[in-house]
Amino acid sequence: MSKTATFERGIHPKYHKELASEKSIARAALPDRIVVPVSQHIGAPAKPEVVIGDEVKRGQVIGSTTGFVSSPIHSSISGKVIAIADFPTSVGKMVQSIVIESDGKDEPVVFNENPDYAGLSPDDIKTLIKDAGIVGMGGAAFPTNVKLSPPKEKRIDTVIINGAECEPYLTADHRLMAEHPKEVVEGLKIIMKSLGVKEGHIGIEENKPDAIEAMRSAVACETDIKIWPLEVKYPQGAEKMLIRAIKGREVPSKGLPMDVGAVVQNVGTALAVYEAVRFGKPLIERVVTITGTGIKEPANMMVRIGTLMSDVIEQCGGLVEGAVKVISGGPMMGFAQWTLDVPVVKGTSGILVMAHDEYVSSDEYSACIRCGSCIDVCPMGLNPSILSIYAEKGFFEDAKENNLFDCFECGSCAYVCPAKRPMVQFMRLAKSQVKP
Amino acid sequence: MIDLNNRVKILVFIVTAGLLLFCSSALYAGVGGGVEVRETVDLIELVEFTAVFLLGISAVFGMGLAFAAKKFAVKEDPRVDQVSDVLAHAHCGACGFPGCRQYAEQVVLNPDVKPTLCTPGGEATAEAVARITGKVMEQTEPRIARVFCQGGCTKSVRRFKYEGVKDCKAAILASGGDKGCIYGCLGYGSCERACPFGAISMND
Repeated sequence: MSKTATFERGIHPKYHKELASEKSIARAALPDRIVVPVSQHIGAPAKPEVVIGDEVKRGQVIGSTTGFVSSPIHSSISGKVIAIADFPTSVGKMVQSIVIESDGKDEPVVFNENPDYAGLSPDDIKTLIKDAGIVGMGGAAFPTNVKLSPPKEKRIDTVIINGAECEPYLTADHRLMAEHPKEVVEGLKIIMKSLGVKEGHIGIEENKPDAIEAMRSAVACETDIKIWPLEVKYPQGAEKMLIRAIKGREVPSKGLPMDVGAVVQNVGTALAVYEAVRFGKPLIERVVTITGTGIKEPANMMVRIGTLMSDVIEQCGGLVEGAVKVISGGPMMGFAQWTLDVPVVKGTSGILVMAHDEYVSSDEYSACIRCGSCIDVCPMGLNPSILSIYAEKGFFEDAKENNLFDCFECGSCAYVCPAKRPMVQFMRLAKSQVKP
Repeated sequence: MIDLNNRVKILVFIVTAGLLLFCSSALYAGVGGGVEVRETVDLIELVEFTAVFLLGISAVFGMGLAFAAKKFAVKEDPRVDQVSDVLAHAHCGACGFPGCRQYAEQVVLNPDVKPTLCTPGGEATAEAVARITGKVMEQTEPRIARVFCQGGCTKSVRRFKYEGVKDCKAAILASGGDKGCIYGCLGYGSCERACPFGAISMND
């Protein structure tokens, strides 16, 4: 029995973190143009506040919220709006996007700094976070201020910062913790204050000793914040797994972390919260890991939101000969791309390029052989095999009755399936055909 | 309809017989006013009495039922049933009537309704309907819908290599499908599998 905290089941994929884990965060070059989709988050899309021909500055609001669960968008460069139209995005949808051509000056708007942010009230903090357009930066992109405003009957007693980064290849959160530990801790303290919570935790997988060390020294004089080394296992960084590992609490079926009194935020989100509250800086850039055997010079880069993936890849030396697959996000939960002309958005944690020898085809899958491997690894304790069969045969209602909607598409089942069945796609298909 | 009538008749018969058996036994046993209670029961006599009583009553009710069946019978052309039996029973409405039964009635009774309207049934059904109704079946070219753009799998470009569930509903979830043309048929044959009458087929 190891002493490190963990959850039940899960898988041990090859991590390949060494490709980029030693690369410090470099600033990406000023892009010539950016494409900012109005919908980078879960919830109502933002409404464009500019028209073609408008001059905008860095940090200026170009799209405003249209509902409670929504998030504004900002320009990450200064320049001129040249188009507002539908463009492809990394999640595979065509989304209305605002295209801005750089004027090369990179002029910022005036940010409202708060040197004495410790005195701000929880409501002020939430307003600052909302206006900065901060969303969950682990990938799901749920508006952060909404997560920080739970209904009254849900008592929150714990904030967990997610530094697990269990996705293979990705090292963005790792580098962030190693290089900016103080800022992350300040972000956590702000989040704790906005929720009125006394207890803070930071969970980091054990394969990032330098990050654990850096975070430990950053919280040396904080009594309420605890660092948790976690077992290296996928999906350790899924919020329900993280709560299970650190607090030993199990989120009920169809429930949310707030049902067990916990709020989980990504490391990147904590940093963005700090920058928004302290410096008034909106979410206009994020750390992206550009990695994989298909990329010439893997790197961790601070990329402006809206920069095209092709631009970023070019700055990393381009693709190697025989690169076959480009994925936005990690290899487990990311989205394969068909064009590189899609923008980096708030939820883009990585750009992964796979060379041919790494790539596994799932084109020729067979019928389920009922080996039960997927049942052994499903972190939610579901029966993926029967769900996939229901989806394959069109019995979507039966899939729903077997807790289809508790599946968060981590891909562990697809990873272990000896029949190479596209399990996650089956789940998505079934979810698209029935109402939750 | 005949089945149902039979069932009702049997039910009525059983209920009546039961009631009568009970009443006649009671009568015979002398339960009720004015008759002395017997001390012994003659079984043979009881059975005879009951049988006669039953036969008499059932004859009366039987005649009543038979009369009612004749008097209130719904007249229906037997050809309607015959036509109904040969239709495809997809209830698709392609003939222009609400369902197969309505088409069967109309094609028998209305001389203007053509026997060739059952599209899922095809030529065999049309012939059978024409034979039953005595109408002339006009030879018609089968009308087949085709994707007019001709953008089949051989001509339309694919934006990327799609791997995964061979189903259009699933393929559309991956960046809107791999076809270069966003309006074009994806070609994974979900529609072909959904149609039980073979109305749709994938060719190229």
